[in-house]
Amino acid sequence: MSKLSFRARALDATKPLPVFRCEDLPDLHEYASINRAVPQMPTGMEKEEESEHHLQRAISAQQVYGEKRDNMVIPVPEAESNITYYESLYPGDYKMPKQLIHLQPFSLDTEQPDYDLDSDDDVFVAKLKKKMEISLLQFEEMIDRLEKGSGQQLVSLPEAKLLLKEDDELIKEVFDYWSRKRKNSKAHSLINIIKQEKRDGSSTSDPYVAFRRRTEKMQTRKNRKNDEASYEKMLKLRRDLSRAVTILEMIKRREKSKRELLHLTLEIFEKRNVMSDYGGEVLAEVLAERALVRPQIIPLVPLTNQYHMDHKDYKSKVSSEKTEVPRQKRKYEKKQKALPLSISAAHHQGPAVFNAKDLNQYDFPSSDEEPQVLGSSEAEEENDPDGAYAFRRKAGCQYYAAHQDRVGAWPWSPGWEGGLAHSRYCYSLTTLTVPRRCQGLARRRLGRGGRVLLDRAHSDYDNVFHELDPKTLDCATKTLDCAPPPSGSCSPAASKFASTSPINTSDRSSSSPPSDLSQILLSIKACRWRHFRPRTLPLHQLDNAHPLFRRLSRSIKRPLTNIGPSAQPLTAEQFQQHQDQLVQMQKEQLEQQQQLQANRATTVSANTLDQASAQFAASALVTTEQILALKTKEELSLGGGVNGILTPSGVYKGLHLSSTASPSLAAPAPPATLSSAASLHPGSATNATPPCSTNSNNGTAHHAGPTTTNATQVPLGNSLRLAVPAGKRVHAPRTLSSAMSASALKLAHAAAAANCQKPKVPSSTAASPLDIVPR
Amino acid sequence: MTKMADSGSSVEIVEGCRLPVLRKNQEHEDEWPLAEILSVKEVSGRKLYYVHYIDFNKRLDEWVTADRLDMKKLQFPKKEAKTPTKNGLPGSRPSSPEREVKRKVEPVPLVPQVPPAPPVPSLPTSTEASPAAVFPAARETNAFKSREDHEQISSLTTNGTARRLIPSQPGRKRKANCGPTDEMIKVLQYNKPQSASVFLPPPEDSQDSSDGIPSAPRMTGSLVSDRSHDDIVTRMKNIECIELGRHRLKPWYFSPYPQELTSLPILYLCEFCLKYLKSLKCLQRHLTKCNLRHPPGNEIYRKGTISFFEIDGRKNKNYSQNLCLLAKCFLDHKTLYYDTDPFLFYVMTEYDSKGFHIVGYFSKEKESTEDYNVACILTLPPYQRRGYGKLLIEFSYELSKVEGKTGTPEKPLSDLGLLSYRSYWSQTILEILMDLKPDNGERPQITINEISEITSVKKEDVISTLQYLNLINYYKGQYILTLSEDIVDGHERAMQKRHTRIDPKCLHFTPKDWSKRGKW
Repeated sequence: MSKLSFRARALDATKPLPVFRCEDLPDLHEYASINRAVPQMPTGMEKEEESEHHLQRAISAQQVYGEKRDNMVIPVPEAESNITYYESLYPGDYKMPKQLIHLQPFSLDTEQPDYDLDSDDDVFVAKLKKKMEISLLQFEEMIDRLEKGSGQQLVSLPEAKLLLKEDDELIKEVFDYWSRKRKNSKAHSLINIIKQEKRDGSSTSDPYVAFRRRTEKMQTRKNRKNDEASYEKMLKLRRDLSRAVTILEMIKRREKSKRELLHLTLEIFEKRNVMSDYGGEVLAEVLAERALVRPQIIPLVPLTNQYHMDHKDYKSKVSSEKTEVPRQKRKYEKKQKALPLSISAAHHQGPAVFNAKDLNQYDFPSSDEEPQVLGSSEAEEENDPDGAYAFRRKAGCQYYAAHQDRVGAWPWSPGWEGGLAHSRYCYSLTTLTVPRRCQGLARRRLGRGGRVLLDRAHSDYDNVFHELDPKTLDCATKTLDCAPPPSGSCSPAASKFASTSPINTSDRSSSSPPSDLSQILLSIKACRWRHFRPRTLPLHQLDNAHPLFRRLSRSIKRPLTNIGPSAQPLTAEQFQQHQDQLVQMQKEQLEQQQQLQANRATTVSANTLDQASAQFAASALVTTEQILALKTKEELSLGGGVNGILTPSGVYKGLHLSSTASPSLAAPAPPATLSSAASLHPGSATNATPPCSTNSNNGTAHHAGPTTTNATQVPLGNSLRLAVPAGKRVHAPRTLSSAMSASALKLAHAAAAANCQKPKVPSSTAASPLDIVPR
Repeated sequence: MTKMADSGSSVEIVEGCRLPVLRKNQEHEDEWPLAEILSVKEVSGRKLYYVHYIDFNKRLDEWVTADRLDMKKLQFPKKEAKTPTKNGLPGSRPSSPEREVKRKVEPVPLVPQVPPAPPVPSLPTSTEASPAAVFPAARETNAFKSREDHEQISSLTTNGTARRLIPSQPGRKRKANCGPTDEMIKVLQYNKPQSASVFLPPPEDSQDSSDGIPSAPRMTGSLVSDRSHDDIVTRMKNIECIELGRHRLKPWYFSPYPQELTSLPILYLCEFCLKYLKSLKCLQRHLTKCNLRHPPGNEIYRKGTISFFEIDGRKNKNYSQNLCLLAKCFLDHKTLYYDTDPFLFYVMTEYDSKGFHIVGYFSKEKESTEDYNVACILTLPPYQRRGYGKLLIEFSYELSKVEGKTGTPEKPLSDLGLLSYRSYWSQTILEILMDLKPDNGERPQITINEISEITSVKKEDVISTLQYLNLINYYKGQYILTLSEDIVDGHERAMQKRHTRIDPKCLHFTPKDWSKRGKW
């Protein structure tokens, strides 16, 4: 039977093996012969060693006796454990921590020197101690540094002096000692270290070299592809590194500029202090002069480029003179003659008014939040398709996410437009702080970045409104942002406008009879009329506005007190020059107008106007306006950005005024002339002509002199008149009419800028044109 | 052959000579085992001979004086380099004075003569087993001996700069046990200038890569079984004595401590950081700066005074290297060729008021491709034969249990390693078998896989242990396990001696998946 199963199956590890006690299987021995079926497993030892005498003896002893016998164990060299000085060598005060020991990272990095002083050193140090002060640790540190500072070549004495912080005498002593010791030593280093592998591979078999790095041996020969790839990687690395260098360089420049800015600002501040210019009048004046110069290039210089400067200027509110000067030059070169307006003194720049914001300007944006500004406008332009209109974070501002779900549902939009028709935003009487006047009916809107825009509406009561004395209103409405009036108490006019759609207002057929002034006043006082007056915002609030606007608005920030004799007068000569040019320009304009009128329907490209003419056009506009202002002292004084409120700008979305005025009439100034008929509305034109307050003529009275102004006066007058009806329209300035060509915008801009630069022009005058700035 | 009338001895004893050498056995009786002279040196006028007792482990090699040599039975290395013989340990001769002489005499080194059968029974095998050829003959000092063997010719380049041996192949029996990975260890090139004098006409070897760059050992594992690149230097102990804490240890094997320290009578080690120092003075200075009182790792186990610390060979290179250097003194097959990065070190300590004293350790590859759960394992000599080894082994399997894997120690095992592991395996398996309860009247039964799963001992080791214990029997058409009375008694006695055990509850260990961590 046993023979049958001689060929035992292989042992199956997954098969259960019954466990027996031998005594239960008396017949087991009968089967013993086939046990060899289980293959012998290797022991895992080297064969040679496996056969070693002592091991075999131990194994057999174990099999015989079932356990190890003391005299059968494998003999090993003996060890002793009776070091007598052990107790004194190691302190015996160690307490076992209660918790498992957890090694803190880096806790092993002690600053202790690796070198341990030996008895020779001890003798030397003891001797040295008589001469100078040195501790054992100090000595060890010195040797340690010397050793670690030495590669193939020993550290020299001068190097040692650099390496060691001790005084020279000590260094000399220790160095000499070390050099001697080092020379006498066979070892590679006084700090005993394991031999390192050599790079050339010659140490592969050196038994004393240990712990070789496991990096694969370089196999450049075997894969050249790898070579190529690494070469490319190196190139890329180099590129990246050099880019980093460039960026750092730029940062350096930027930081330098910031420092310069700081110093300049400080200087300005000190100067102002010396001059007692506490109100900022002098500054404002100087600024105005500066403004004269700056915008002149706007039309033709690439927008972004220009913008960069402005933006930067704006950020700091002070542009460096450096940037300013070249610009001027550029302009003059083109013009071939110096403008009278360029007054060298005008370049001094500084904050218009010293206010809290100016302090904040030293909270410079940190390097990472501000892209490099200097010298790279080109590059930035590429990366930045939005150009001047790109969103830029401002330090210290909080931004909220856009309400995606509420686009169009503005609180000021009437219900049928999907708006909320919030009562706070319905049309109401509005008074601005500067000029301090009731503006008539207007409603507020929130523009980008939290700017408050005012949409004005025309009503038949306008005249009455304008005559309202703000002072009386003051007492009537203490609350700046007036509380909702008792419902239903709105006057007919107010209620009408409160719910006006532009469409409604456009038909004015149902004009109610003008009411008595006092009646209205009463109504206001009784809070039957909504009346809005802005809080007196600090001037710098304007900073939140759109950059382009902001830049320009700087000039407006001058307090009204600024105007006056103190302003820098033009010399007669300069003026004369200018006037001559104007005459020339206006002739051209007239010609062009006629041309235009001939083919009014066709759009005329704005590009025909060169920079120079644009400038002159702008000046012409100003001039005429001022003249006009002398005569018509009234109306339409729109509160400028002073109040942090934008006056309405011309276009209402989808409702272009095509009828009221012909473009040519509306635009006596080249900007209008050149723009396509559809794109520049009388409204805008109107806004562009700042109504002058009476006191504005101080410095400009003599402008009336030139005969040529008459020619423009007429169309201008027209435009103004025409503009009034335009004002009736409810404007939604936010929507930039797509029809408005870029050139038109530029020109309008130019015109506005031109206004700004007139030092004599009161700030309020300058304010309104700003609104034309494209949004 | 080379005789030199030299300093009084009529016969010059050179490396490679064999003769009986007096030594005391464990019973302190004299015995005269046959030994081979590996090296000769002269200290203050007296000659000292480094002898390897044939068939004894290398750890018993020692320097002996001339009076312990039985010159009457001296056998010179055999001249006719025919088949090699016993030179399992070929190749090692350090420089000897008569080198020049020899050179004149015989241009070609000889293979020592085959000695008569050594007293030890195992001799025949060993003879066979040693493919002498594999050893590089060139030693730095004397280039002469090279031995080749029939089956494989070791090739030496004549120019002397490099000689390469081919590991090989058929002749090499010692590889039999090793995993496949072991086989391919290449012999290193010997690049010593001195070897230029070697005159072995080498057949040009074709096997090695042509670029002349010697190949390095494989990068995995911690042990080397192919000794073909051993040279005389590594065959001899180089450190006389190591002082570690309260202990003085006599190293068993070569360890690559800085060479300038090898001539010291005592090498001092800091007990806690294991830094090596050349003098007691240095040690004292070091101790003022070293504030370690335990191995610099995380304690992952503590019960009573026994703790285990886990040290990452990459994060704590200094300690890991120091530990390896120390361990190499007692582990023949350990290689320190490469850095310690891919290993974790588990150091077992015993606490007293001076700190956590190292008792032993084992290292472990972070990622093992061959189910190794231990790379090197060592109980320091002063703590040996007291159950600590078993504790270390037990702990290594506890880690494997946590990891949910089975594991096995890296091969080759040493003699002591084999005994310890066998003993551990036997006890562990017997423990399970004896605990098996009859299952509702049926014979209790168990599969090998089940044993493996319960113990984390790799299946092959379970089988080999069952075999070794002779428990597997084929009975009536099936395999059964039988427990004899002897086995049961022996086991019970052995278990009584295992008073200290690893308590899994005291282990705080979370295995990491090293494969996800880039390069260790």
